[in-house]
Amino acid sequence: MTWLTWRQFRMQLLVALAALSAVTAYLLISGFQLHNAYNSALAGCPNGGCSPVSQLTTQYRFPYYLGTGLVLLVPGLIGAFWGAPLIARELETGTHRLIWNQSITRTRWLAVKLVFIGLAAAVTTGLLSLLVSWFASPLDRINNNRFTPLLFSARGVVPLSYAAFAVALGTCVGLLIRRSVPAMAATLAVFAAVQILVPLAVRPHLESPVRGDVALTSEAMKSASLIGFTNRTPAAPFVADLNVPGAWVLSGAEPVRTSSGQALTMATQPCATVSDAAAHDACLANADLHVTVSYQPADRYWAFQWSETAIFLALTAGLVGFSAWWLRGRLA
Amino acid sequence: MTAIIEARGLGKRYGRRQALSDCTLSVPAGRVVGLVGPNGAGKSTLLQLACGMLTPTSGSIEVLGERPASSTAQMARVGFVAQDTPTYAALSIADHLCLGAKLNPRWDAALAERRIQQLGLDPAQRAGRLSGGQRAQLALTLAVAKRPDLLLLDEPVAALDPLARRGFLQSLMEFVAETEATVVLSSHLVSDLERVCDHLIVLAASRVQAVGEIDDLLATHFRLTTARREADTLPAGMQVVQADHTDRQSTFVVRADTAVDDPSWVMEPLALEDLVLSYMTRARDTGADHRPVLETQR
Repeated sequence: MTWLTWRQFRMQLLVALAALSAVTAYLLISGFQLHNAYNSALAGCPNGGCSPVSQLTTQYRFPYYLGTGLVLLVPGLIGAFWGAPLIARELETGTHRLIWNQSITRTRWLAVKLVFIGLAAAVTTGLLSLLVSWFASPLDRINNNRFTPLLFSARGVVPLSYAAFAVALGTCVGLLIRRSVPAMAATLAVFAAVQILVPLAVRPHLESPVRGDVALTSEAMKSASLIGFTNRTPAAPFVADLNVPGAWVLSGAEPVRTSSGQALTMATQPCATVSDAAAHDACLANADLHVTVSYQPADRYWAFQWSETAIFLALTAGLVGFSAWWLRGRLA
Repeated sequence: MTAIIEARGLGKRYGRRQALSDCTLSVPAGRVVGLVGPNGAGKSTLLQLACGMLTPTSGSIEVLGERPASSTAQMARVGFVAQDTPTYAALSIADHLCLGAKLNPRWDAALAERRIQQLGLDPAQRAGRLSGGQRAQLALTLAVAKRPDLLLLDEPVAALDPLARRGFLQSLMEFVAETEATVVLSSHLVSDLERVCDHLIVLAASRVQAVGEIDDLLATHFRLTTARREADTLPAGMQVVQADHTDRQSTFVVRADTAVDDPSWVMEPLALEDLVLSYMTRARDTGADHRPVLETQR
């Protein structure tokens, strides 16, 4: 059975490996350049925050986005191209009538296929994730944002569980739809929906977020996603959406408050009279202001990675169990 | 006599459609059984129930003394060639034989290779490039080299031209002669089956209409031509399968133990095709209103 699985699957695997090895070569070459540039830039700038270091993010933008994008995309593609046709193609061409009449049970047939393809998917995605994580590590250190939703999904161990889930999902969808191409489309759609839904609705609640005050320092202002007034009237609230280094900020724009806790408006903000932009920022930084944000702290990163991996592996197990049950009893 | 297939009240329903109902039959060992019926009569359903591709919704079926596909040991003893003889288009003939060898404990590699050689096929050729007849032969080879005790074939020759059809049936007969396995072969053409089968099951309107040894069926069915009269005026012991009336004359297809000589009628033997057709016609005309199954006694 392993032989047959390999014999049926080897073309798809070779195509995938050929495509990935091209990407691997590219990421390896730019990765070595990036690491060298980062180390030498760091040597000339022991205290950090130098422009040569931050320039690297712009300079290596393309391979950075390419690699990150691939880690996000590959599990879905694996689900569609490896998972969906796994049973659907047999049902479509009628070969299930040939193979299920050999001296092997359907359950065993499915098990061998799923273990084989599942391992191939996990290894492929795992290697790619490892490569991209290594390539992007200097930039991730500079940006300090690996906990943000997209990067969280593209680093660490979660991509492996996404791949396993995608294979199981594709198999199950193919089993129900019974035709390859519609099953591939449906797999991609469902996988994309899950990948959008989980960071929005599930991941923030894995642990209850921390609420805390962040001082409106000049550092905080520089990294803020948003800082200003909700409109142009004197009564407009003064709000800011600040980032916490390494953490995942869940709250959006929150009111800027004084040390006594009073929310400020355009009229009451202490630096309204300072017109020069740099002086205005310096004035704000010295005014002892703060913003209350809710966030998942940086030290929860790995706990979240493992929790989400466990969730996806549980979903995978559920889908595999359902497929096996459906295959045994319900299918003609 | 041991029954290879034993079905009791067997039925299969797909949603609202009853594909097979109340099928009770027993196939004795060592026979070549023809399963004949019009399209949609439930032939495929019955065969797929027998090999375990389907599970019954009512009644029971036992094959070689066990529930179909209940164990791998049982699966090893049943060969099945599905309708349209599916093969893996991307795999070569040699790959198919390798697949068979790895997945079947009783695989006869010598038999498989000899058959491919006799057919003049190139083992390196992909199955997708074979003609319909060659593909059917490959599918048969896979099923036969399993060395099954029961070989089920679902309309294997339906898509073949007459020459390929003859070649296929000849291969099948060689296998039967060699192994003494029981074979069940379905078709909607009696002429295909007449040449190779010694036992017949007539299936129509999702029910078994007649079942028995072909010789017995032929010996107990007659065409009776007489002056016009009603079916119920015929002597007891004659069961009417089909009745046709013109103004002056009546023609019946009857089942009777022996021909009865009577100056008022002509009673002559029936060709197998006519016999089958009269059962199919009856099934079509009576529809759901069904009469008891006729079974030839031995």
